[in-house]
Amino acid sequence: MRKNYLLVVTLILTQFVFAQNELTESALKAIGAPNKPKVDVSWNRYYDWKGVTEIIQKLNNAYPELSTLESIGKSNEGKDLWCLTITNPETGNHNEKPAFYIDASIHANEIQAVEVAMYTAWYLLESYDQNKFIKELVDRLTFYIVPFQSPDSRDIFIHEARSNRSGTVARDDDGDGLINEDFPDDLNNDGFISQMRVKSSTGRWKTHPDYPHLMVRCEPDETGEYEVFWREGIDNDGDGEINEDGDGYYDPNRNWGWYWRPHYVQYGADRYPFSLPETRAIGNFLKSHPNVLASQSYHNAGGMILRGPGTKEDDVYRDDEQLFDFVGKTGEDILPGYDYMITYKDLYTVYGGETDWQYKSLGIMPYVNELWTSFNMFRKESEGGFFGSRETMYKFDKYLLFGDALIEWEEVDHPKYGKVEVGGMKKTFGRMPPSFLLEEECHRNMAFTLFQASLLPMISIEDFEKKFLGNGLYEITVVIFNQKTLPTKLAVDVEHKLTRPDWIRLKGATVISGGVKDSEYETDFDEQKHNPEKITIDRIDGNSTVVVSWIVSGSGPYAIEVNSVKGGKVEKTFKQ
Amino acid sequence: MDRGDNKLGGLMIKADPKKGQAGKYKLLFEGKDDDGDGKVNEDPVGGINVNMNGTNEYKPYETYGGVHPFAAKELIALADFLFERPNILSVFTFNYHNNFDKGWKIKYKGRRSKGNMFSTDSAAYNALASDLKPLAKYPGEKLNNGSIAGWAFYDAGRFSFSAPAWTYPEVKDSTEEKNKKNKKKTDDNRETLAYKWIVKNTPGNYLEWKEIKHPDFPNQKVEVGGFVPFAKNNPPEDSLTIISKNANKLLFRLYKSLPLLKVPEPLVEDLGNDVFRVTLTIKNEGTLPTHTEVGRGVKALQPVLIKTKPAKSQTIASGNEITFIQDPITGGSAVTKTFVIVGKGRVVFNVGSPSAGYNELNVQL
Repeated sequence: MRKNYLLVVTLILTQFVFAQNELTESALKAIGAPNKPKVDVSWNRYYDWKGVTEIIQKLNNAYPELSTLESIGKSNEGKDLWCLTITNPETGNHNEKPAFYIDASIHANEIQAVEVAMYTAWYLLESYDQNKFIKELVDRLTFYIVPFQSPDSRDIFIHEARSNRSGTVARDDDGDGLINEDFPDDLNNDGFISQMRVKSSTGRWKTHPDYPHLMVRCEPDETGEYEVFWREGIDNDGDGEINEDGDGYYDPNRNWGWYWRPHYVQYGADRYPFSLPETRAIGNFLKSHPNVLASQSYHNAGGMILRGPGTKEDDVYRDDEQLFDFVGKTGEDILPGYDYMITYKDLYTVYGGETDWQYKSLGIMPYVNELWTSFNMFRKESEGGFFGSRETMYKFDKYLLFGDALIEWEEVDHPKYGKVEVGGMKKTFGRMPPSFLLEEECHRNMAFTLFQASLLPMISIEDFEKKFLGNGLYEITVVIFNQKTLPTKLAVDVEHKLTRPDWIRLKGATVISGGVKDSEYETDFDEQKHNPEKITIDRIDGNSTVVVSWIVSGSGPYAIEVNSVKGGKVEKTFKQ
Repeated sequence: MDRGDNKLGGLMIKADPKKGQAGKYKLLFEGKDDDGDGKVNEDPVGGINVNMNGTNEYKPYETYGGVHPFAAKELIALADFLFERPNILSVFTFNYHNNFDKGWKIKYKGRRSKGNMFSTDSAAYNALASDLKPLAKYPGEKLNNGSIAGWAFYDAGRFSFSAPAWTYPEVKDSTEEKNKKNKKKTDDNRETLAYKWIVKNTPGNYLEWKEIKHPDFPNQKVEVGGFVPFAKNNPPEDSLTIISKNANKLLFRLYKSLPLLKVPEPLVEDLGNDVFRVTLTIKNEGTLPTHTEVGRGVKALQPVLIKTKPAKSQTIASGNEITFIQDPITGGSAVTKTFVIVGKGRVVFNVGSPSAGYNELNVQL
């Protein structure tokens, strides 16, 4: 029965794909986009969990030879946390190649992060046959893409009025023994939790002279017209407070096992590291994929390329810092309006953040991008911090969105305040791009990610030399080369032995002695007394070589294997 | 390491460079290099030490500390158990740390306030700990990184008491008697105490050092010996009764120190025209406060609440249906709360919290 159902779905999918292809058959390819994609996706809207699930399954069905779809765990409400693995298995197993990890929207209200991750998956698969650069990445590397980390609250954002940074695990915020008993309330049922205002001769607010929907504070010498309450709602539980115990609350990005601090030090830390089903599932996934060397997390908003540390007590190793800076600075060119920043110094302190844990516990080089910059509204620096000033937003709404971002003020009855008006600006504007800027945001951020991926190590055995020493003995010398920018391990990994050492193994002869040489031209090597057939080294630096010599008995053929947890695996046989 | 002086016979003690001592030995666990990498026993079975894996003062990159705090399933189970039970106010851990002796240092300070964030907790804790100190008689060691006892207070929000169930008693020899007379303090640690006691009472639990041939150290002198596994930490069988008696006494006193909530009949004042002022007095007749401040800080414990249910004929003119007593009510103290109620009928007040217990009052107005 189930099989039949699957068959029907596949048939429908196939028809859908054909229909889309007919539509695009006669179109002219715009530069930079995959031509005639098998899975046609509109990148000017936001998809819910069901929608993302459908797209990711379609991609996997369309490219079964390049992708694997798995559920790495369930959300609090039982939704699958998808991971799409993209690599060409013909060039090696996914777990034996250097890997790049992407995740998104750990804060569910940071909506467009999911689309950026999905666009990346789509682009890699749809461009594989069309673009040399993409093909080389997918052949050489593995991409693990986890498009959403908090699907329950994402669906709340999309289908209900409220907006949620937290997940939905039940937590008693105010200590009354009840769980989530005082949500914000959509008093006029317009699908948005907006602002409330009350006409009041003693209020300190007035309407903006140019944008009458916008409420602004009065000057000290002015008389006000309104009192403003920031969030629409009532006192649901009769404790005299409005909206004091909604979803959660906790912050999933303060719940990871590095510099975790309790709630009274780090707001939202929750009970202990990895106490939430989503962080635990993703943590376990990363721990079981030690080949991940670099990563990208998507958040919003403010146009930032962030790197750690999240707290001034913590640090980043000097060698690693140089790499971070090189990549981050290039990112500023790829992403106009974005600034390369250090979290604790340039933004705020974060204890128990995901990416600090990735760096210090797993030896991963992570960035957090805060998507959407107010720069994009008029392509110039605007006042008002990360989100731009209210005036700029209302101006943008007036000239480019034609009022679509506004919620007209509407009068409703409030049990406590009497007649109030609710209205303001939609939650879908301010931190997320409008439709026509979404595809650009997806593409530029993906481009930054793929730039990082292109720097992952690429190891080759460059040179092999065999010298007869007499008496059935030979000296074998090989030169191993990493022709990319990133080393096979970060300095933090080497220092704390987070992953095993890289090794270079000689097979096919009895090894009597061996070791690493400073260069091919040196006559002595630094002898490894134990197990010389498997020479262990800390790492292979970026754009660098490692030279190994062995004294062996046996004339070959020899096989040389270079095996690095994060740098990949290469094996080559030499007959002479 | 050095091998102890004549008095201690075969006990290995760490050479102290500050005292000008030079080591004569290397101390290793018995074993050989099984994987041929030049290191002995570098990858044994295991494991995470649960008592090193907690979040309080967690030290990363330790051999048994786990790859991150809360990597041990046992610790996760313990935390889930505690957080699902807001009625647990105190935790006691049998541990080599004794915090009746010195008490917690409350190191966290409020982000905005300069004072101690948990002053009520520390005052209550220190008073009770000094009271019960004679019952926690075995000397302790420094609290280790990532301990359960530290976590239970700082990160799980409960009064956390910790003491060893037992350590080897002092064995007095003539020199020490002399020292005592001279009022010199002996600096015996747990290991020395164990060694002296074992040599005197169960000598089979300390093996004489014996020379062996070791495949990995062909040109060096290798001896095996020392404490029989676990003998250092575990009491002899015949002391179990006294150990459990001591522990029972201490635990019973801790149990008796829990808060005891009492709400006597309220004061009702008739203000005329069916308006009544009702004043509740909420007393804590126990020793510990009704909840901890740190427990609120980690959202593990709940404050005392007054839930007021007026009759249909009544309205609450001043006050809410739910009233929070946010500060802990300390042992032996009371707080009052006043409501103004309009209308005749029966008001029900439910007062309490999971860690303080509940009282219900029916007040006819």
